Amino acid sequence: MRALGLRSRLVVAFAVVSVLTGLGVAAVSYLMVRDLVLQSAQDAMVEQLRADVSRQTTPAHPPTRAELDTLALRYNAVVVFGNLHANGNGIRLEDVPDHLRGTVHAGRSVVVQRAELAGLPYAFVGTALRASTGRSTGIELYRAQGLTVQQGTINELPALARMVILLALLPAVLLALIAARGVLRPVRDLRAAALRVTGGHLDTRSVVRGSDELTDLARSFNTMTAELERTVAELRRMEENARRFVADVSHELRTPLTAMTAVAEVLDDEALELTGDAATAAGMVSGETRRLRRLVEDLVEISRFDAGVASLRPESADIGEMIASTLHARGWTGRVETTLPAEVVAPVDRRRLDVVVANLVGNALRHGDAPVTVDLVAVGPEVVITVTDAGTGLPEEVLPHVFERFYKADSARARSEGSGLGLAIAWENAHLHGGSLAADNSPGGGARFTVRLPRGRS
Amino acid sequence: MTRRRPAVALLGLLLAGCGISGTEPFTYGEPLKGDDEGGGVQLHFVLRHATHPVLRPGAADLPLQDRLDLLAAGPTDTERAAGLETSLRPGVRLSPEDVGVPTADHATVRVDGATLDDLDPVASLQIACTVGAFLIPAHQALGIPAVIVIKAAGQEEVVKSTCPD
Repeated sequence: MRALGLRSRLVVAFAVVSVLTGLGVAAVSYLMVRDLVLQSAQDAMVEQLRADVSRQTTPAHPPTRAELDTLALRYNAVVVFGNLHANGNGIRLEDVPDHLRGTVHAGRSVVVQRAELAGLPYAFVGTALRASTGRSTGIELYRAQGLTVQQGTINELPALARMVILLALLPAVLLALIAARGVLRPVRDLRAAALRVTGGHLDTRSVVRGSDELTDLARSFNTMTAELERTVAELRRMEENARRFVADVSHELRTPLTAMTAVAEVLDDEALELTGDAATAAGMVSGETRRLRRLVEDLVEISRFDAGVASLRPESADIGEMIASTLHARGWTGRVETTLPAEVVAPVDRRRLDVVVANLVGNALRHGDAPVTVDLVAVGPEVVITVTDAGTGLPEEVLPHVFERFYKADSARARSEGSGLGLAIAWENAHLHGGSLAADNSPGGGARFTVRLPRGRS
Repeated sequence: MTRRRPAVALLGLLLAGCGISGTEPFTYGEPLKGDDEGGGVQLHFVLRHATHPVLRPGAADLPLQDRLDLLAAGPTDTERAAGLETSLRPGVRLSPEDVGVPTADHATVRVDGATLDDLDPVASLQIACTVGAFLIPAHQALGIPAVIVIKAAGQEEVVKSTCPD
């Protein structure tokens, strides 16, 4: 079971305290009021008997049976003398509890006992009738009084207490909600601030109110985000510097490289007439110059992506035709199996799609085994281009890093024909189109690269 | 569970104290007194093997000898009709010896016509309480018994006047 929230816990705690207090007060008042009500009824009964007896003349001699009847009327009570008695006061002698009669008979002055009569609560009072001297006449008087009214009053108390407890519950819950709000509002503010920071808004600060523990927390949170913001800004600045440096270096290298490329071409032409080491050296300089030029071109390209200045010039094009022309231009047509349906049209930047396809197919031809296949298919709102080779595929640990710059799957193959930036550039280009590029292994075991491009630009 | 325990205890207390419960008999204030001239002679007879007081007409200061004569004479017809008896043998004669004035708390009574063995405990109490009612003022009667020496055929018995009065 999920633990209750802070608000619910506060409400429950306040409610429990309120109800328990209410119950306690109700219980104590119930007992007190009950005793008071009964006491007052008994007091009234005894006082009435005392007044009635003091008004009457005490019988001057032991009464006869007939005189007992008269006394019963006069005293409005059950009157007992020896074995004789006369009923009165609406009750019979048999109704009077034996224990009460025994106590009165033993000479106790005025005795009261509560007992049930026919299922109803009664208070009985009994006394020996005494002369003004205090001497007992041997005559006993008994009266009873119903306590039904008092019982009604007492029975109303629990309902009353219930109502009061329920009424008290309302302000208790209200207070709990107010208290919960006081605690929860700063917590909610902090949570919102944390979410904003998570969303990248490092300039978010929580409002610091009051001077309690939650305020300390808000202050610590603000210190933390300020420090985070400073560190991230520093890191960004450093990264920006590094990128600009690469871009600048690449640009600076371009001009001499153009001249070197021209020289290398001359060397290539002349190489045919050279022999021995000179021919080897000429070929090496020419090859490395070309490789260096490609690396610099790729660096300049990726610098544009990093600087956010890479621009897309989309035009509606038949993707199948474009792929075919890319393969043809590279001289790969015979080495690649293609499934290129016609009429698959999407808005693409021709140059960039050419770069993507050339990079993926070139990569497959270099690192995978034949046959390399290129499939084109339109799926829903997307155009999907799949480049698959028949090699051993990409190891599981390589897959997450395959689009990283200069990442080499096989460190032993440190030098290759590629610049190490081809897949990174292809990935950037696919994303620039609003599409994606993913790498995995085909069921046949070879590496598979999947480009998804949107068919319509939103 | 821990939180519920006091509530349960409280509820139990409430239920146990609910409604109007029956009680044992309990005494309630001063004795009731009627309105009369202040006379009367209290004698003690027997009802269901225990002493039982009766208040006969007469002067409150009726001499002890007269009271003892009334006691020895036994219950009247009216009293007998109410079930009162006496444990004293017919023909017994009681006479006070060494009796102080009322408000003294002891006296000696001589019994003629019976031995101590003939007097059962209830009979002794009848004598003691009747004498006690003469000696001790009524407002002192409760709880402060008189000490009565009963002499019969050369023997003595000490009895306290502890009767319902």
